[in-house]
Amino acid sequence: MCYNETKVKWMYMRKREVGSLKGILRTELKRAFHNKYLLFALIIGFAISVWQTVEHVIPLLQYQTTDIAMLKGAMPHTVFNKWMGGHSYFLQTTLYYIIVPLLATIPFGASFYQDRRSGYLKNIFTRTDKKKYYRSKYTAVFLSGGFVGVAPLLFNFLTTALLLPLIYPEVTAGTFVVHEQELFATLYYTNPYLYLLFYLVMDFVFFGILATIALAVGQYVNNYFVVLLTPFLFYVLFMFLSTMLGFGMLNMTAFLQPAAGSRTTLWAICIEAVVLAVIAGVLFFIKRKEDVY
Amino acid sequence: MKRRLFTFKRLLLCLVILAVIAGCTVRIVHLNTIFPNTEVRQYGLNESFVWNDFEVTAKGCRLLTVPEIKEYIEGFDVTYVDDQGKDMDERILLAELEVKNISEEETYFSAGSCGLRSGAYTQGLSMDYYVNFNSEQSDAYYLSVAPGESTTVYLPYHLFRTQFSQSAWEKLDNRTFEIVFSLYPVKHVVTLT
Repeated sequence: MCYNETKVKWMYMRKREVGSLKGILRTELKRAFHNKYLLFALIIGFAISVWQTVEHVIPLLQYQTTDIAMLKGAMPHTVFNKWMGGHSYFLQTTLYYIIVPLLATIPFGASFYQDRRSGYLKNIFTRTDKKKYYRSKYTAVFLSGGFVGVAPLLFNFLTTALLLPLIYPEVTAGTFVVHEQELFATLYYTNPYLYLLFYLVMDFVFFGILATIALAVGQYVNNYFVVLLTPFLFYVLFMFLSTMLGFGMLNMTAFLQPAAGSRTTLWAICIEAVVLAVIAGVLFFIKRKEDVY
Repeated sequence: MKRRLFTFKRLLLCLVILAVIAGCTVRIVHLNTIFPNTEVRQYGLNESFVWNDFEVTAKGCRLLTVPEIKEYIEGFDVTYVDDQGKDMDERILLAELEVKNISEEETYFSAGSCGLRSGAYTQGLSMDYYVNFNSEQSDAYYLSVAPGESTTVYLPYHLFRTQFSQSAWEKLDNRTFEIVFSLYPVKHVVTLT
């Protein structure tokens, strides 16, 4: 597999941008977002999203009545507990949040490894500053990973909104699964849009960071599949270890889901994000000095 | 010619995207016009409102400890234990309601549909305690009220320490509790504390 480096080359760069950070970043972003692997990852993500809608949302339409009196005070089904992130008991939600590091890595995570193996790096480093390339690569991988992870969730929310109303959650209804002691639980009931935005941003950041783990691994390993699978294996291993050792609050699989009942804190999440980003970043950037061509 | 075709394709794509966005917006607006957001009606203690043929007035609220409950109900001895068999820290929130049947026929008061909430915390009516606190009623489970008559109903809600964080449990007495009656399209909420 390769990222069509022969096609891409410097075609996206304007003359004056050649060698500049902006120019390299532009190239890397084009490579990250204009490739078939991104499309492939998005198709998988969207397929899970559509599957969830077909299995859990569309069947509800037969009970949807336009005569509100028929509801007799009961709450109609709403987007906030029926979209993919609104309930952790959906098979599709569990599946999605398990494979998401893999989806985030597929588009561009292993591109550095590809560049290194194919000799593309040599071409780059003879024309431009290594630092700029490394920074651009890190940014492009981070952004593509975050985008691929979050886009299917956003798509699912919007498609659910086409079918069910956007009625605010009510805790006493008993059909919403965000409860006391969970992160920003009160916000979920007072301003669910802000709650949703917070989770999408947090998911974006974590999926981006997970994708950059592949970058770091790509510096040291000489096997494409190991590079591609490491973020996923790390994520799953982390899930088991954190749960088994009693650090459930650090379990990404749980706290990245908007309604998984994770009793975590904002501090724990921030510290975990920083630690992961620093480790992946350091492992990736530290090897830069050794790359002499 | 090739360039023109490319521009035309791009324009067509933009138009299709715009049409899809417009269609989705119309659908979302239409759906949410049929099902608007809940209208919340908030009441305080001693404020009356009409709900399901009843005029309801919340008269008071107390947060009881287990010894206080035992004082209230003679010979009552229910102890909840956790997984390890230890007694669970528990409190009872007891709300006193006056309900008046304003319809022209005998009507049942469905206490079970009155949910307690406080932020993101919720609890249903404790039926064990409900029967005991309303022992003066002939049949507390199916509390029927004659037309024009009013009666006092006690709604007990069982709060367990494990449902709260340590700090939240310690500040329980300062917390705002509400009883939610109907959910949609109008939500009647009574603030108790």
